[in-house]
Amino acid sequence: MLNLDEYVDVLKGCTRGTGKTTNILSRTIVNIRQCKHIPEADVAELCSKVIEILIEEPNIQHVDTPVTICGDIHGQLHDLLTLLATGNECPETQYLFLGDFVDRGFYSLECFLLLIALKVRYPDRITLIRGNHELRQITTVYGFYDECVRKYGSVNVWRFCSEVFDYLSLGALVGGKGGVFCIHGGLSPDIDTIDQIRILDRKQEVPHEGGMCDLLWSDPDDVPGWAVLPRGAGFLFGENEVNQFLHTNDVSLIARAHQLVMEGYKEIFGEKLVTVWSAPNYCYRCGNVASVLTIDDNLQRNYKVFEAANQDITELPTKRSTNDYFV
Amino acid sequence: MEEPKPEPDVPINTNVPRRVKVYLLQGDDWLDNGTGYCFGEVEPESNRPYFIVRHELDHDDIILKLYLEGTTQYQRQQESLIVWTDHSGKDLALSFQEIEGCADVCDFIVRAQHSKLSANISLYYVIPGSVDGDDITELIAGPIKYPELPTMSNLEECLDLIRSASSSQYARNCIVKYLLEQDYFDKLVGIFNQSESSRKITNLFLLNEIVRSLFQYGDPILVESFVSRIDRIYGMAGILEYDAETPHMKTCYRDLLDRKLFKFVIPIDDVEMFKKDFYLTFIKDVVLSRFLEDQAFHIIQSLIYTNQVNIIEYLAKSELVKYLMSMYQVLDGYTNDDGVHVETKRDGIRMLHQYVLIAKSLQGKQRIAFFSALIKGGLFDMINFALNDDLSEIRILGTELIVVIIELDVSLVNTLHHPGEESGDLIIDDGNCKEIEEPDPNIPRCKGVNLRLSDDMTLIKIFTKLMKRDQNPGLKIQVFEALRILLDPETVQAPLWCDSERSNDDIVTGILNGKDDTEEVNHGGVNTSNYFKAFYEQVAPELFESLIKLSQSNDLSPRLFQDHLLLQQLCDLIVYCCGEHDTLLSRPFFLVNDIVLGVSKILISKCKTSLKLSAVRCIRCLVLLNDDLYCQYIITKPVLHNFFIFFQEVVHRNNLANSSCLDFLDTIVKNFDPSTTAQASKYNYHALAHYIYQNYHELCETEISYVSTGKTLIRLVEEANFVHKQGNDEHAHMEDDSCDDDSADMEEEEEEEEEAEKEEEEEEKEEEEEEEEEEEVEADAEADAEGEELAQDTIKVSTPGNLQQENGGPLDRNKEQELPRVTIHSSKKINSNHAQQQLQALKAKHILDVPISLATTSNGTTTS
Repeated sequence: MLNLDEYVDVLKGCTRGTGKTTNILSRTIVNIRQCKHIPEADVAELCSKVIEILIEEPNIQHVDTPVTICGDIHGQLHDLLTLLATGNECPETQYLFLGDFVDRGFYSLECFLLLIALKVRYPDRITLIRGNHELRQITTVYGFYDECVRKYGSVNVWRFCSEVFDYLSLGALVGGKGGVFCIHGGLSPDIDTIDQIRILDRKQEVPHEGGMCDLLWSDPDDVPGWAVLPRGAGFLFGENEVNQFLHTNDVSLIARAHQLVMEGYKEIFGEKLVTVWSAPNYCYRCGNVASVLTIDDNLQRNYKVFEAANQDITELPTKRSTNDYFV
Repeated sequence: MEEPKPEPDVPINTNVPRRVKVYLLQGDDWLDNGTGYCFGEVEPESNRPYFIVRHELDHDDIILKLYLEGTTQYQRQQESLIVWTDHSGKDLALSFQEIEGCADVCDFIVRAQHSKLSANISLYYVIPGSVDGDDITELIAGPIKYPELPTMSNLEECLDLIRSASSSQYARNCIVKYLLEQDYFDKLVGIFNQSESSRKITNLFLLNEIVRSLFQYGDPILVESFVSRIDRIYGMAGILEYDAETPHMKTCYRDLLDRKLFKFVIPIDDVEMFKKDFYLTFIKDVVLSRFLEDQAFHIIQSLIYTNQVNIIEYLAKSELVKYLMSMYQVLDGYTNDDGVHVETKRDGIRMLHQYVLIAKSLQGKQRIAFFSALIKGGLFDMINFALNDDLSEIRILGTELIVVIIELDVSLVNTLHHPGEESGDLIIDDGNCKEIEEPDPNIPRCKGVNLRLSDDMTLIKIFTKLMKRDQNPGLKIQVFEALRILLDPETVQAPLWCDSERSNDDIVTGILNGKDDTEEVNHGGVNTSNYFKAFYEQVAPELFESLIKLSQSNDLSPRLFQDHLLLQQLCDLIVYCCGEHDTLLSRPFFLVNDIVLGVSKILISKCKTSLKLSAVRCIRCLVLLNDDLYCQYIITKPVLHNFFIFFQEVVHRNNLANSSCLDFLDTIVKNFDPSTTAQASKYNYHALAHYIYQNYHELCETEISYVSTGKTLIRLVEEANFVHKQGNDEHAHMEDDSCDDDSADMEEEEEEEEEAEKEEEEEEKEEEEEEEEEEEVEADAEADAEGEELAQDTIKVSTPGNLQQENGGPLDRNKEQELPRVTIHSSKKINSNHAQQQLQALKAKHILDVPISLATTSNGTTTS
């Protein structure tokens, strides 16, 4: 009997028909879930395939209900797996991830690969939008870059992934008119209508200012108008701005992530804005719980809270990545 | 248990009398017992320390005298209060006038305790809790309970004591000192080995907890001692394998450490520091990554750093680099193959790659010393081997390696010449520009000579070849990076390191300052103009070959687009070159070779959308340069036309392609809009907007129904027209022609137009040539016959700009206002459906710098 790895090898040796490609993809998904080393060439191919899908998506994706909205993941693979178990696996459940898949945690690469592999496998059942950590500049500081170099000994995998970042949508609209507007960060003084976002050529490293930047960086707060954000990019926006935006665009709720919420989620401004946070025990030490938000066909909200996975350290992410040391 | 011995030399008494109020608790009330001056003293006969408070008015009136004895606990509260219960049960308090006084007396208590004169007293600081109101009490001085030396049965007590000390800096310091003196950690490892072999699992979990608690102390010396020896690291890895949180599993760190991970390529006499580097990195990344506190993390990080500095310095100084490089040496055309196995050579590449990445994170000085040792040792032969290797892994590593070096210190690649250090016959020049002025391709390059950026395109040529031929996407990306760096005028301008008297610091400063150091640059730096000239003459035609072919071919079969990554990168490179390089060098190349036209053909072919979007971005960036000639080119050649064919395809879809096209349109609208951008010249945007208005009116007005961009463009153009058309009777028939007709005409007449252009050119040649001399473009002087004709074209086109410059800067204000009229004038001609006329008019306007008079006469209006 062949073991799994050999089986994959056999498959790879074959000409890749559609059915077999799917098989390989499913196999890759299994391997990623188990934290197995994914060969660089497979990462390259996965990235190029997901780009082909993402490029056909609008800047603001239209997503049907029911859908489960998830906040920051930050490289916590085991918690991502718990999340998928909590909300039911894709494709049974349709998912919308609000960005920040990478950095901070130890399995940024696996998290990102798993999500894009699911995207390639079930393009209509999962939507990925860009967070402020899906940025070259940010990932070189907060861990994803180092993780890639450590796991592959070169920066190529990081480059492939960074290329994918540029193609990610900037937001989503769940349930059409009267529905839920979803972004990673928040609103922008430059953007009054959702249609305006359509004019942006999003395929670029996010600039330091302007609408595209604000969507990924802004935070809501009790402020009378637009205010400077201590983070250095984006704006603080208050209830007035939210009401104005909801009214202009005929949506009923803004769902965003971007800020740690100890309780997993938090509705503010008269339940017109919610922050969803999906990284339990953030950075493995914050002690918070996480949640996902399901929007049903009647646009009703249902939150599911979950706790940090007991991290299974027998599966070292470094199994193959402890490269030879040359002297 | 051993405790620190008293230190008799330290004076214990306080020096300054401190004003204080003495309180005594009676019932629930603190009673004032008088105000006086407090002293801390030691009774000479008995060696007993005591407080004494003498009345402030009468020195002999002693308000209080109390010995510091027994197990009294002193608490310092609210900064200026010391409170305690004496051995008889009385509650006392000293309230100091100044915080300083309180601190002084507290220090006295500490000294009394430390000196063992009152060994069992203790002092606590009570710090008001900031968040929940609970006060925090921290032990400042007092008897410490030290953990016993570990045995098979006392680990739980040891753990408790270690943990209980963790909240007090003082207690931690005491315990750390004790642990270090006792070689406690080695004893823990001993117990660990015993427990593991006798399978005492509870002990294993306890040991794990102990080690982790000790890490939480965050004490640099303690952490350092844990990892100071390989055997300790190994023992620690073992202890950390057993985690009570996952009682049924165990990690296998030691297995990983046991694996034969070390590959020896060069003979090393001091292996220890290399092993240390590996082990420490392993500990940081793998073993401790799960729970490591920030503080301990930084300690290990800095240990790694220090060790790596040693490694790199060691490698740079020793003969090892030479030894390594000699494996790849090419002498008289023969490689040094004497018994060096190809696998060994590959390992050498892998090894150097590893150290170059390490060196990358170090400071300038060590890095430069190391990199220059590499280059002096013969790095380029090694690179050459790597880039020609069959294994793509090796090609990637080789590229990455050189990218790192040029990224950080491109000047190093320039340099290379160290008078007196190399044997004379290996050096081919002593000036940098000599060869460029008298290029002689017949002189073969001397093997083994280091590269000089100044004139030498070898490296760029190698990369060009790789980028075109290699199909590995990772490698392609890296090569692209490398090329971009080599084509960066800023880095290339960095001063040469040819003066051996300059210190490393100077070089770093030089590199950092880059441009500011202009004198240096001109004096010793690369002659960038010659360098880029060489690039555009020797390499660029080869590099952009596929786009040149595309521009000439009518066949747009998919095979031309097979290497879509290459084409995508070329699009990015065009943007880079046009934006960063001297326009007079880059522009003729891109226009003469119709490369921009080639880019636009991507848009009308069948290929990946990602490539098409790169093409859109490329053209948009050219538009944003706001350069007369590029703009003209984009309109007259069917570049914009091709763009709109693509736009039409995606105009009703909501995807990235649609957004990119909208963004393109929006770029023109925003820059054209009189209300938004006042600073830049709008002349070119005006021309573009009018062209679009004329030819793609319907698309803008009706088809782009979902955003306002198209309508805004139409409105702005009409507003502009309205202003200029007042008094113009000829205003009519604007929308008569459908855009399709126009487009078709344009395409058909493309050839005619080119012919016409040439005729015109003939006529104007004489004039042109005079002007040409004024220009400093020398590129075409040496060009071949075919190129000359084309180059003439460009030069000719570039004249207006220069003429204007003579008149006082590019496009001064008056002209800015006048010029747009011409566009309107010419666009009317388009309306009469004579594309040829349109082109002629555009040409007349732009090429012959007559627009102002023409516009005025034909429109009959005066300048506003």
